[in-house]
Amino acid sequence: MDSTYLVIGLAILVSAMATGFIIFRMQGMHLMAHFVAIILALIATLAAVVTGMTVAVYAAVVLQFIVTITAYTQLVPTLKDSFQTSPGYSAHLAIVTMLPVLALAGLLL
Amino acid sequence: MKYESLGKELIGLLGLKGSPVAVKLAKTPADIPQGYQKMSEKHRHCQFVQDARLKGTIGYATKAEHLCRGGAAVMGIEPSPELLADGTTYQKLGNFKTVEGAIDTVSAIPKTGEQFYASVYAPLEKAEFEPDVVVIVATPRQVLRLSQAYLYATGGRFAADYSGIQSLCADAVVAVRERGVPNVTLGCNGSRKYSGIAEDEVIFGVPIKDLEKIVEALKTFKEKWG
Amino acid sequence: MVKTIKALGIRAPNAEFLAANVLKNPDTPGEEVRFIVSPGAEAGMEAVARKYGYKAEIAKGEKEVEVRMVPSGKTTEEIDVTGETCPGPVMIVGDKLSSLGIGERLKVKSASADTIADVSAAVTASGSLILNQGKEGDRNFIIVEKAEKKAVAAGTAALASKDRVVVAQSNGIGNAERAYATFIFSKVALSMGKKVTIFFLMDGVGIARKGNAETVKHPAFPVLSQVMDEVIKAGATVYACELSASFRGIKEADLVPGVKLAGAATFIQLLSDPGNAVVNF
Repeated sequence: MDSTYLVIGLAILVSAMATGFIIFRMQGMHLMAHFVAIILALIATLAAVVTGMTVAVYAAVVLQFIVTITAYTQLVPTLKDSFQTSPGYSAHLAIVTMLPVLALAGLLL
Repeated sequence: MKYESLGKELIGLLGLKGSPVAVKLAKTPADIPQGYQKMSEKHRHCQFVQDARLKGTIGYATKAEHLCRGGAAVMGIEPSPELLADGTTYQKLGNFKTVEGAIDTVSAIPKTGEQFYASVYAPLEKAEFEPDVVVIVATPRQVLRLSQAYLYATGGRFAADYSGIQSLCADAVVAVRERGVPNVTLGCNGSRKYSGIAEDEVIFGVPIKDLEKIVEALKTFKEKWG
Repeated sequence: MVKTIKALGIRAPNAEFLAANVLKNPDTPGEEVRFIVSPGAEAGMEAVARKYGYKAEIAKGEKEVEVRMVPSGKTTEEIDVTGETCPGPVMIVGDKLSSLGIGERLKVKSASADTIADVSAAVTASGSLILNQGKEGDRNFIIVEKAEKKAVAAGTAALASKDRVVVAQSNGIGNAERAYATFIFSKVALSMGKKVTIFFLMDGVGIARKGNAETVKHPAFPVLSQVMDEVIKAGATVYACELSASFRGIKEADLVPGVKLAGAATFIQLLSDPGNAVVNF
């Protein structure tokens, strides 16, 4: 288990808070589930980095997956019909899509 | 027929020559009572009233059937002809010394602010619609009784106003309909010349809501005064 | 409903007799009556009013005098819109005015002068009159009299006032603020008596796809689908651009009820009509 990937994941989650806040203002309450997932993942990842406990690491990995999944489930209905406004969402999607790769890398490498 | 007895009583109590005439302004074709036909000839409003009164004519007149544009205009059936609206016509006809006087009078003629599709006429005793106004062409003595009957219940004074132009239309229908109180008018040059309002006749317009109490008062007078 | 009786040219004391007969024989008991008489004919009207349980309010003009007979004890309705934010006050006043009859009055109060200015603009645009305005304590107020909107002759309509509003919406649910604004502005325009047409184009058509508006919710506003539904029910005409819809695979059956597909020609026609005020969201 390499904590480097966890630290990168933490950095991405912090960034996701910023990009997320921007799209939250465009979308509103509809994204609440996704933001709850980001906050929980951020706490779990921070705990995993600080303590190195296996349970915390697994929790962080699961929550990071959930962050990515909820981003897509919550945003796809909007992006399906919105072509012009989609670039506004791209930064957030791009950043949270890195999370599962890094989470798996942290576990397997 | 709803107004059969009221109409017959009025004729009997006053000894009227002809019928009181039920007049209604219809907003749309749907407001024309069922079975009523367009008047077959073009006439003035006052002539339609006279025909209903003396010949029992029943029907309605749209813009196309109204010969007197001034009459149709005050009743909202067609826009006011400009020359009438600005008083020029009446000044030329010799009614007024000055244009200002003509304008003063013309602007005070009762006009409805609404638009109507047609005017509907029937002798009151045969009317199958709720009239806005009942126009009674009668002798001064009969109108005296009607005025007394109007004041019988609550007293006061009768207020009549007219200007000698647009009488049976503006004074007897529109003013009465808009104000909800009766009016007496003496006819105009048109109604005297073309529509056969006789020398000894004047016109009483009354809102339908007041008619029943007028008839009741006339009955009381009949008992007391014979 | 206030009964208006034009009795121009009738001099005193005949106008007084006429007024007495009207008040004695009302169409509906306790109705308010407004007499328009010639200057001078108002003499004695106050006494008539008192005699029959009314209060006379006389407003003298150069050529006409308005004598308003208000049944004693009847007071002008009041509403206080303090604390309401845009578009609340305009809509509350619009709703209230629509329940009043022509000639009836309403006093609108607010702590905010800006709110009162906004409401004034809306009621004037809908054809009603501002009779008075001022300040009482910390409240600004206006007194509004409901009037019928005056018809403007064809051809001059565009110059006089734009009575129709076209809201072009091209941002869709990807921009919640613009999506909400589409319907909130429409509601305000409707409450001001304007005819509203909403035209969804490009991303905007996404709002009209069934289920999409349900996903947009701002904490301060009802869910977007509810606001849209209210606007459609209030009589707005709503079109979705056919081209933009087919671009996104949206078919007529996918649209929420009340939305019709329309071609570019309809949009161009709406934009070209000088009687239409166009707002873009």
